[in-house]
Amino acid sequence: MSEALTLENLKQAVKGHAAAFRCVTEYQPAGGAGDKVFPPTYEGGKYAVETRMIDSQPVDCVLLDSVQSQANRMELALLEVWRTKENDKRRIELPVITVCFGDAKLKKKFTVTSLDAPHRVADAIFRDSLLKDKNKPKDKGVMFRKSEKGKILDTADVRNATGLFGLCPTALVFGLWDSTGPRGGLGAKFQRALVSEIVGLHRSLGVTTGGKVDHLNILIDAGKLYQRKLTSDDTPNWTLDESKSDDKKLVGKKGKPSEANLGGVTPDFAYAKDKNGNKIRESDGTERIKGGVTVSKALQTTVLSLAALRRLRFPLNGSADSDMTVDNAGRTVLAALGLAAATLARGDADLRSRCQLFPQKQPVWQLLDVPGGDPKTFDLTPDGAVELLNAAITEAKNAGLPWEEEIELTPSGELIELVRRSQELASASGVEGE
Amino acid sequence: MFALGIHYLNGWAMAAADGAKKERAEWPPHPDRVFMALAAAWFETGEDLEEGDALRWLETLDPPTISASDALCRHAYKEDRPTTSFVPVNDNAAPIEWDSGKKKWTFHQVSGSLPIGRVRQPRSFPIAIPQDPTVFLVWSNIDPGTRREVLNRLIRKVTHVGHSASFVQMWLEDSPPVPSWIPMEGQTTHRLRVFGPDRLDYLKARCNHNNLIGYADLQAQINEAKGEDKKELHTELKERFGSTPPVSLRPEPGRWQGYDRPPKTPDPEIPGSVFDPRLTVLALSGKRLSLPATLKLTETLRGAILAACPDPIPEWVSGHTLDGKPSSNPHLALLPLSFVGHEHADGRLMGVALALPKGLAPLQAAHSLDHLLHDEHGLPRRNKLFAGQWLECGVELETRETPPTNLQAALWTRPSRTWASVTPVALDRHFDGKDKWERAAETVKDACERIGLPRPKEVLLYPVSLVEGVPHAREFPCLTRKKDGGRMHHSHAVIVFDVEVMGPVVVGAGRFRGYGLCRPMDKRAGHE
Repeated sequence: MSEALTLENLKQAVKGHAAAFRCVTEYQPAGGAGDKVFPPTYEGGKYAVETRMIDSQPVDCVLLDSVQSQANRMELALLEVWRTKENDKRRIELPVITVCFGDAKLKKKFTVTSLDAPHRVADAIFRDSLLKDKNKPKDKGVMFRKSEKGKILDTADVRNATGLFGLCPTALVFGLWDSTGPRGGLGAKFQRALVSEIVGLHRSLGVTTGGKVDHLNILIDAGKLYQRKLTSDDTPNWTLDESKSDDKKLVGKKGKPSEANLGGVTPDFAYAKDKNGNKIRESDGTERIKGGVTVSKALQTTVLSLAALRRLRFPLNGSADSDMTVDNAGRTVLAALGLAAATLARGDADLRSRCQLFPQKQPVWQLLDVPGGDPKTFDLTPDGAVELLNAAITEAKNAGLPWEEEIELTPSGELIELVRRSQELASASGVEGE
Repeated sequence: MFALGIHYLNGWAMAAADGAKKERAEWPPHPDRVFMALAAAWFETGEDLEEGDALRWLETLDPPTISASDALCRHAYKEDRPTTSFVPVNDNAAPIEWDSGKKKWTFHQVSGSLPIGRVRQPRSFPIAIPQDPTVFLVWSNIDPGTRREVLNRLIRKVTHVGHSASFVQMWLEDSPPVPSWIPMEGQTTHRLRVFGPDRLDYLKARCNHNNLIGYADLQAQINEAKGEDKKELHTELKERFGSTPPVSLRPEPGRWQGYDRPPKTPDPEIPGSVFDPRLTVLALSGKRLSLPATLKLTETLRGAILAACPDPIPEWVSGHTLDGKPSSNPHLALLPLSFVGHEHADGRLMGVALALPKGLAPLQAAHSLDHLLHDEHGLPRRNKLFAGQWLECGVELETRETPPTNLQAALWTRPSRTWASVTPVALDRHFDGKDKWERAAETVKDACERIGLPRPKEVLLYPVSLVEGVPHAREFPCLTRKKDGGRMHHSHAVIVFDVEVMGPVVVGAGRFRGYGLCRPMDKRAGHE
């Protein structure tokens, strides 16, 4: 029988010798058992597959969500909860670094946070942004990595993780490598403490088709489309009149209506194609069809390594040594943060288009302590995880550990210009990204 | 006895067997990798003196035996290598880049929820998925004694073996399961990296962490400093580190150790042939070949073996003496392993077994075959065999815990009284007359004695084999006599001994090239 995970249970686990918390959750497609799901595709449109031995039988499996992708989802789940306010107070008080790209020059405005930047607090976006003194609005500010807060990264390591704990605790849970700081590749490196993955069992490859019905019934021989030389706001960018074309340049390769997205598409299998539009073939010569899979079930395995957290030390006030009580308080926060991230990301796993999964039971966390023994099990709901985290944070602050609020950075002029140019070019070419 | 127990918490192990290539997953974990995980835990948690002593004691022990199940690898669908992920870089946040070749701007793909793009680099993450995610490194005759508590303290700190995502739980185990891999000399299935004396000090010196950090910090100070301060810092840099910046290097493999399944001690009462029953099995891949292609395959493989063998090529490999004459001693035989002996068998070639002569020094065998069988990472080498347009295949050492039945050496060597040919037996000479088959049968009995077996009670010659799936004898090309180029007649055979004999049984003039290979026919206990 499971018991609810309390702060006391968590503190005992962190202080003790247990290796990890682990949660294995079974999912089914939101469309019901047997519905098709679409795994992530890798280079060449391939799925990542494997064979597992389950009850001594080989079972064909497929990767539905990778370690890296799961980490991103967990961080986004934390971001979502952090952004949620109740009575003007955030649900969780988390140190988050934000950069707002709200300059008037930009076509599209957005905000980047340390929970969605690829390299977290060490990301180049923050490196190229400024920290301004709120009390001096006319001050230009200083590049983030040259500020007092930014310099924390320069000397952070496992023996002294205090500053980073207060600045970006998620970096200590999901891992961090400051590869572009003053030490270059020798910069702060913290291993991850949380790993999660979703795998589908008994995979069976499917087939999809594609096609388009054209209500205008435009035929392929209806005309040759040329690129218009002088574009305007009251004509399409193509023309049938060669004299108005840009040096007789055709739309696409052959000027077919379909190359201007006009006309129908004959229904056919959805073949995987390369950049040149050629069908990709498997190593046995068969054409690859993008078809998704059916699985008997999906299993999500999430592991929070307590051993990894126990490596971290949090000395206070510039001391070389740390106090075990303070260390445990810090580690407990990180454990609660990891559990909260994993728990909040569960519930409704909408992984990608046509790949929405639904858990079949409430998640149960096993505490892996005595090898080979029956692990203790704990329940943790999303609300419970948030309460646990907030309680752990309170205790850590009382123990003297730092805990920043939101740190707002301003993108440098150069970075804004780069983004502006990118948006202009994207808009002009109609491209969103390669 | 004590053992290091390792439980892979995610159910898989992420570690590359081929260095920076990262296309092949390592399994079982090499003892040296486990030692490095222990060393990393020690380095990163304050280098406790007692724990350091425990590690230095551990490195003096002989290579452990290993208890590990077999593993399969994650791979791209219909390929035998991992998928490629594209990971965003951090040295450049620019969402666009000027492509001077195409003379246009390239947009980088948006990264997750980030609305601006980023350059990405390809990365592979090889993963092995074991049937049982628990592994043991076992030292049977060693007791850690007073070091037990310290060792326990250290191994609990280990977080991962291999990639940082490859979480493990480690502990000291007093009752490990029976080992599945033991260190052995000579030709073995696996070659694993092991640790030895001074490995810990080597790792520390090779990483050179303190010097690197010291240099980087000093350099950063120099970059910020001006005037006199800058000069002083430069002087300090030169005094501490000389004119060359310190470097950190990846550790190189310390030692390699062969590992194989614990050998079953053959019953000394059961007679065997001149060939060692511990066959080295190579699996074939690529274009399908059938049994009649045996001669072409073994000829091509023999060429590859000779090419890979270091000079001087020993007589037992070449089959010739130093002066070029045919050897009168038993030498390496190449045995075609095929899908036969089953209702739906089709006679296709699945592998080739290398049968070494008995009594060969293990190190000698390993020295001659190692380059053919293993690459620089200790992994089975993927050799390509090519002989014109109709023979193109790959051949690689078979290392699976449970390979297909016909690739299991025991199938071809188990004791039996009755043996039936899978490839035809080449007859020494042509016979005429009414009793030609009886006389031919007598020569086959002679051939059995020639390979060290007792004289059979009976030999029956037929054009078809008793073994299902084996083609008719006429479908096999004939051997030619070296002296006059004449064709040597051959026939399938059933050989019956008075007593059980141990294989491999391969008889007749073509025995070194794969002809005359026989399969035991006595029913096995518990099998039809």
